[in-house]
Amino acid sequence: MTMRQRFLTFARAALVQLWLPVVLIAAWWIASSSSTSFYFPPLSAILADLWQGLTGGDLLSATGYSLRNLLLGLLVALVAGVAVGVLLGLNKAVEAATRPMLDYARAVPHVAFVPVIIVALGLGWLPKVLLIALGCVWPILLNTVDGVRGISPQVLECTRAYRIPLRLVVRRVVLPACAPQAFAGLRVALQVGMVMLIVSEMYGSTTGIGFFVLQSGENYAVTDTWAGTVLIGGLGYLLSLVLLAAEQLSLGWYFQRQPARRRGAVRVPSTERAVAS
Amino acid sequence: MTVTRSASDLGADPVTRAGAPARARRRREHPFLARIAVFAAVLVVWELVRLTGIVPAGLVPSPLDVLGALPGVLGGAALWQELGATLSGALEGFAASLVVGVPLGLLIGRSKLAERSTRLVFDFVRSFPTIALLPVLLLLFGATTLMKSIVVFLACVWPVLLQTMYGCMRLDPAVEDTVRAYLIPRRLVYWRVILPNAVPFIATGVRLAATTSVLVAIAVEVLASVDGLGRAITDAQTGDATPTAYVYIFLGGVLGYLINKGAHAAERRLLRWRPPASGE
Amino acid sequence: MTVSAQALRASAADRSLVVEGLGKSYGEGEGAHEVLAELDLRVDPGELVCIVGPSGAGKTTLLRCLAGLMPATTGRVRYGETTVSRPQAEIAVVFQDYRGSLMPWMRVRDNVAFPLEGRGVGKAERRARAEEYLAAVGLTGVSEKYPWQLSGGMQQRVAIARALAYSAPVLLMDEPFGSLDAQTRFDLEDLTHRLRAELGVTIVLVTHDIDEAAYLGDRVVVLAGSPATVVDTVEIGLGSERDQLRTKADPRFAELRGRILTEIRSGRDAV
Repeated sequence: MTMRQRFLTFARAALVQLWLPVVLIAAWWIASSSSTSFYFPPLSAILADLWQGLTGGDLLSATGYSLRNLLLGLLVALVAGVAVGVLLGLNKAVEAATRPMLDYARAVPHVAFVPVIIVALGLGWLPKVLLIALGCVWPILLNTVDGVRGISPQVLECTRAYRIPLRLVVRRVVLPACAPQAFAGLRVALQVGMVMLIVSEMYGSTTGIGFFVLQSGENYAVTDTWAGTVLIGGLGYLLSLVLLAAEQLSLGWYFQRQPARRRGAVRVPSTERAVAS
Repeated sequence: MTVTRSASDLGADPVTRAGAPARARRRREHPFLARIAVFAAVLVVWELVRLTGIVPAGLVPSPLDVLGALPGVLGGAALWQELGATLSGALEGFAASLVVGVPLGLLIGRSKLAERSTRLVFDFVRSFPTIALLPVLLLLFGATTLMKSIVVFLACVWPVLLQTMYGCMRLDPAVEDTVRAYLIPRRLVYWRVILPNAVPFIATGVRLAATTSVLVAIAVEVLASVDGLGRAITDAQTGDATPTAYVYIFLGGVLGYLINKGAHAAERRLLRWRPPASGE
Repeated sequence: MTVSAQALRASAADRSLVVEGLGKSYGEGEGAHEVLAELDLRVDPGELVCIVGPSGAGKTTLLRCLAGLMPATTGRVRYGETTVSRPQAEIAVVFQDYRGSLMPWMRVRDNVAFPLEGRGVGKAERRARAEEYLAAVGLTGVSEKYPWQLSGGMQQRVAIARALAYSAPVLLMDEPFGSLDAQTRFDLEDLTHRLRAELGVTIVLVTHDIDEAAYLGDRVVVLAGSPATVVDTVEIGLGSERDQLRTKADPRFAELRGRILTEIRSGRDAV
């Protein structure tokens, strides 16, 4: 393809994907532009408010606080989930023994721990990180177990035939092999983490973006509530994009395989955990 | 050496070999005793951690206290009322998400143009934590059961819609070639090929939505003080009855577990045409 | 067999599958990849022609063009007077990927009957025809099963039964036995021979296996080069009765396969 053709193909794809978001935002903008309704302020006012909050107001520091808690909680969940997941995945008997317990642990409504933990530990950042980690660890752990269990037996037998030490096997074979699944778990965990973050801040906090939207709503500062909600949406989308980019960067070997084989290799995340809330 | 060993292995007690492998496999895959041991070990570790005193008393009660609170909760009328309130809110939102999500997904999934046009919008909404809409919805509808159902609906409709869409899009190229080569009319392709092909994906979406619905209902109850399990937990904890709060949480876990297992069983029955390996 | 099927086959008597100056490239402009060029081929009614070539030589592309699943870039494919630019009612296809091409949610019988359902054939007749052709490919008592419950060879038999039940005069087979074990492959090769003799269908079979091509074909068309083109057409002339043991031990068979192999190699080295 020539440069011109390539550009045209790209432009056409961009157009097809962008028209609807643009139309929707424009529709919101126009429909709300002359709105005098208390509940639906004009989009222009919402965005102006958002800008002001991010540049001069306390929205920026609140967002930073939330983001830091989220990342800390995710990090804890990732380390714990992958470590325990690899351990369980490599040991069939232990995995079989703990399976119902894990299934149950995952089914427990973790948001219900929010009042318990916050009432007991207070309004600081630590209980929030704890709650986020508590919600996020399960999808990562269970996906890692599935990933390790999915490693072809030939690969493991091969490492035994070449007498490769266990530490090296874990580092160079098991971890890379379960990484795609672990990432799938991390994607779900990010969504769970956002929910835990917002619920915990709404339940009891003195700052943070969840606190901001709830507080402004209770004070009938509706434009602030909308601005904060829009910001949460943007933040969630941005984080999911960052995660996607990280996945593409670190799993080059996996995405460069033939799509057909990829589909066969991990059917589970594609139908199973592609969307979860 | 390998040869002699495997040869002697083959010769070893041929009598017990017959029925033993199946039983051994069952024991390996469902080690009943080991599972109970794991459960007991978790309880013991829990109690030991509590006894060391490194965690605040209001955070982790003794498992014995939780067990002690169980009969009171199970025997009381409140539990069933709270459970009913949570379930009805979850069910309403869940049902609405199916009614909207499945047809819309079928519609969009069949058109490449529609799928590409909606891609960014769906990517956005699906990464949006629905619970963040709570303040806005509280302003609009107040702390009512209707508001709870609406939040549940908004959280559940995306997994259903997106999975339905994926199901329509992910047709094996070999199947696509086959229906083209044999000149199968469009209507028949839709009913006999596209729809059955999408069913496993839709089922996954429905299962995800079913478990999500209860979680979201509880979250709304915790935050907005709407009747249900979530509020019962909050009330118990603020009323200094931590063991009772834990009982409610664990019963919530039982509910989630049963919904998940039930959905899996229904899926297996519905999708008997699938080879067992691709199940779970 | 129904009247319509007989009529279809009778009218095929004066119809041949003809390829004229066929070329196929993927992509456009400078980056285009030319797979087939200036390809001519003629398959007369009742013939069994094998197309053989090294992997990547565009065999499957050629077959997809013959089936009307893929448009030609230059030249054309015609069946009788009709230009084949879309799939035709007179052409049935057996794909290499039997696992994918059988609908996993349909029982074996429904899979075989599905194309007939598309033609509006009534339910009772559909079932009867499906059973008839399942029996013809040597499958009985499996019609209530799902495809995954059958072995690979049996699944490919189902795919063949489906193609036959469609009662098209021309049958295109794309590496139909490529992913089966040797013994199953031999059985299905003999089945193909028998069905051709009994039903009089025209068969075009694509394969990378030189032995298979020489054993099955009345003629073997050798594709080679890049872009691929016909480098030779070999008349097999071993008669219509063939046998896995005797035919393959025949000195003429050895000579033919040697000739085909040499041609594929020279075609490859010429590039």
